[in-house]
Amino acid sequence: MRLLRAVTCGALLSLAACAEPDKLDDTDLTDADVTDTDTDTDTAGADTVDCDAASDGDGDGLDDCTELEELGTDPELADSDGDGDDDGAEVDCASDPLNSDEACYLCGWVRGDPGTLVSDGDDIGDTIENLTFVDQCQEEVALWDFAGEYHVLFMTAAW
Amino acid sequence: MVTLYEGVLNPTPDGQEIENYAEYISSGDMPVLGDLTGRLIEASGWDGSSMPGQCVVAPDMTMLDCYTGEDDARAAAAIEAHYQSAR
Repeated sequence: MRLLRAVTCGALLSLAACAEPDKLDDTDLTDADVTDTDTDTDTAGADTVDCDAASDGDGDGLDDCTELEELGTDPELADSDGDGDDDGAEVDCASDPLNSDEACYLCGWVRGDPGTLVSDGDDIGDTIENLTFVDQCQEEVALWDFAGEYHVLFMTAAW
Repeated sequence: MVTLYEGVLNPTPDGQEIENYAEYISSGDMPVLGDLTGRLIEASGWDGSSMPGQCVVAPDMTMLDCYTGEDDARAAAAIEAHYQSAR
């Protein structure tokens, strides 16, 4: 039956038509042998999670498929990591929606990706350490969150 | 672009001072960051005798240059040199 389906799909040259339907309550996300009962059109076949790209079940601004297949967040929970910011908001502000220690900055600073930076000193030519500051929203800000762009720091002491 | 601020009455500003200063300079979308530990101020070598001090930081958080005064041409030169060397 599977062979027949594959041959038929190959002839149709349609990914949607080739999709292996999987059942809505499928809890085994990796077993291709699970028999499905619905008629969805997941192009990746039975190994994928059911999702609807037009649906945003938790109202966080991210469609269910993006949450399930790209981010790994919970499509039925607006704030997957429980840090107070909805998943969609965290994506917009470049925060990790699966890391409860990382939330959007109140002032809206977009986080850069420091990657695997290692500080080697505080002198000219050194990778400066990840100092912590306080911004005008009175929130702690990590210097390395501004990685990825050039910055000119103006230092002043009075006005 | 990031603006750092060191307190007037105290060596390190509190959150309210930082907020007040941001409003005073109408910082808009520019971060105004209080260096509570003073470590960046110290690392920059800026002594506060003349304002402002400037430091140029690369995307990889390398401190490219620090100096006293507002010298945008010098900052641009540091950025250009780093950009060309990184290509």
